[in-house]
Amino acid sequence: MNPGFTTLKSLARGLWLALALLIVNAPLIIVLLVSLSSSPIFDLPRDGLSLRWYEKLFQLDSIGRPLLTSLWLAVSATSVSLVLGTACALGLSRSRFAGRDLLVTIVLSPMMLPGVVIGIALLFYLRALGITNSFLSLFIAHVVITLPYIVRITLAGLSLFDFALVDAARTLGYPPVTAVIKVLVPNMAPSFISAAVFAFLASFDNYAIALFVGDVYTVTLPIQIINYLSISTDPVVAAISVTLLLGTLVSLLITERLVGLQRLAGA
Amino acid sequence: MLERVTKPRGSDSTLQNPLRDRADGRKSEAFLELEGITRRIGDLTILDHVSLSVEEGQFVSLLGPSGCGKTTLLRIASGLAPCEAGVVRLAGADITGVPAHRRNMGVVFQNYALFPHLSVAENVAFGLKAQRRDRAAISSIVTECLNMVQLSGFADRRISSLSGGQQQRVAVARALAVRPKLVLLDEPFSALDRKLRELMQIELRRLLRSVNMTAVFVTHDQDEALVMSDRIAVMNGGRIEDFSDPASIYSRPKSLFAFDFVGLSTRMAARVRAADGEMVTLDTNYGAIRAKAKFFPGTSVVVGVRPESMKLAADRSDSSNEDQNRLKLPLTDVVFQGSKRHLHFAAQEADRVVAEVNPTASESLETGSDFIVSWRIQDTLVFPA
Repeated sequence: MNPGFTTLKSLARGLWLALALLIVNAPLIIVLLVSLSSSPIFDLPRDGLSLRWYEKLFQLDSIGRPLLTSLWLAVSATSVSLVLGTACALGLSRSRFAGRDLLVTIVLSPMMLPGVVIGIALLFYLRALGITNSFLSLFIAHVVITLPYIVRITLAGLSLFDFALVDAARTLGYPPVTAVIKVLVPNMAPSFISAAVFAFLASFDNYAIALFVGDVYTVTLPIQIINYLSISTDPVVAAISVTLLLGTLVSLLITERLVGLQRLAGA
Repeated sequence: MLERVTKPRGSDSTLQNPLRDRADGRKSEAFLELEGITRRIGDLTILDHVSLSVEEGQFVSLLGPSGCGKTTLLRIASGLAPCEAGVVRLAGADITGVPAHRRNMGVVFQNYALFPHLSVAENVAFGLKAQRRDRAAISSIVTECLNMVQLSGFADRRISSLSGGQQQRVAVARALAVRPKLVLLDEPFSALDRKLRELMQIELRRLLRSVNMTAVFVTHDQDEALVMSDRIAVMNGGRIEDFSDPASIYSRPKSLFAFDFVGLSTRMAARVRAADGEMVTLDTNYGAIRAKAKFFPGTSVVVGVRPESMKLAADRSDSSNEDQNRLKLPLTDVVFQGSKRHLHFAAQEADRVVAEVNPTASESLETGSDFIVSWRIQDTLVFPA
C-alpha cells in the first residue's frame, strides 16, 4: 500500500480518537476550569485563575459530615456485599439448576433498573418492615445496589478459576474450608479488589436512592452537593467535584497497578 | 446365560486367592482395597459394585473409554468424591469415611492443578506446610523433590513459565513431597504430545519404582496402560471387565470389550456349529474355523484374533493343517506402521480382519487379490456375542 496513504489513515484515526476523548471528557475539563475560576459565580475563568474555592471547600462545615457518612456507608456496604456477593457467586457458579439464569438476572437487576424505581421501592419496603433508622435504611439500600457489581465481577472471575486447585489443596492436607481460603482467595484477589472498587464507587456517588431513603439528619455527599447548589451558585461545587475526581482517579490507578485494567472491567 | 459358563482360557487366574504367594515367597496383601464401590448420581449409576485390590509397590491402571467411571473411582479412592456403597481400605484400615485431607494420598490431577499464584518451590512446599514442618525441613525436602524430577534450577520460576512436561514434573514432585502412602494419577500424560508422553511415561515409572511407590493410574490410552502397569483394570459402563497383567489382558482378554479396547484386531461374528469336548467348530462368514472353547451348538459368538497371530499362508493352496485355522480373503488395504505393516482384508458387516506382517516381507501384497490367512487354533479367542 502507498505509504503516504497509510500515514494519512493513521492520522485520521488519531484525530477521530482525539475527538472522541474530547467529547467524553469535556464536562470534566470544564468542571476543572470552573473550580479554578476566580469568578464568584459558576462560570468559566475570565479574570484569571485562583484556588480560593478549594480554600473555601476546606473551611466549609457542611461538607465534612456528609463526606464521612458517604465514606462510612460505602465502606460498610461494600464489605457486607463482598461477603454476600462472593457466597452468591460461588453458589451460582458451582451448581446447575432450573432457573439459575433467572436468578442471576434477578441478582443483577439493581444494576439495570433505574435508581428512582429502586429508591421508591425501597422506601415503601423499609417502611413496611418498620425500619425507621435512616442510616440503617441507607445501608440496606446500598447493599442492594452494590451487590450486583460484586456478583457480576466475582462470577466472571470464578468462571476462570479451576476448582481442581481446591481438590489439590485438600489432597495435600488442608481441610475443605482452609483449602478454599488458601487457594481460592489469593487466586481471586484481583476479582475481589476490582469488585470492591466498583461497588465502593457505585455506593459513594449514588444519588437517586439516597434521595428517597435518607432523611435530613443522614445526608450523603451527593445529596449535600445538590443541596449546596440550590442555595449557592459559587464554584465550591466544582472544587468538590474535582477533588472527588482526583480521589477516584487515584484509587483506579492503584487498582490498575494491582490487578490490571482488563480484570477491573470484569472481563 | 448358559454360554456364560465358558470363559476363554487363562481366566482361572482371577479365581486365585488374593493372598497368593509371590515369587519371593512372602505373602502379599492388598494395600489399597476397594470393595463393592457404588456411585449413583440421580438415576445414573456411575460405578456398579466395583472391587479392586492393589498390592504395595504395584502400578495399576484403570483403563477405559470416557464415561466408564475410572476417574470417579480414583476420586472415591482419594476421598474427594463420596460413594453410595462400598468400602475403601488402606493397609487394612477402613478409610471410607476419612476425608481427603487426612488420607495422605498424593494425587496428580489431569491438568496438574498447580497453584498459579505460587512459585515452583512453593507449590512443592504447599503440602509440607499443612504438615507444619519447620522451615529448614521443608526447604530440604523441596530441594530433594525438585532434584528428583530434574527441576532443581526452576525453584523460583512461575508455573506459567513452565512447559507442559515441566508442569507435569512439578505436579509429581508436589504429590511425592508429602511422602504419601500411595499416588493416584488422573490421566497424567494426556496434556503432553506423543513423543514427550512416551519419554515421561518411562521416566515416571522409573521414578516411582525408585521410591517404591504404589500407584494407580487412570487412562484411556491402551499403550500407556500397557507401558505403565503391573496390572490393568479394563473398565466399561461402571464395571471392571477384566483385571490382569498387561500380557494376559493382551493375549487372553476376558471380555469382548477388553479385547476390542486394547489393540486393533480381527473380530468376526460366528455361530457354533458343533462342540466336541474342549473344541468347537465355528461358522464364520468366510468359512469354518476351530477354537478351543466351550459353547453350545447354535450359540452366536464373536471370534477375536490378535493381528500378530495371523500369518499369510506361504502356499496359496487351501490345504488344511491340524492346528491352524485358514481363511481365504481378498486383501483391501496395506497400512504401513514403521516397524510393521497391517493388512486389512475384505470383511462383512461389523467384522474386521487384520494381519500384521514384517515390512520386509518380499511377497507382493497386491490389493484386490486373494490371500490365505492362517493362525493357530490356540490363538483363537471366542467371546459370547
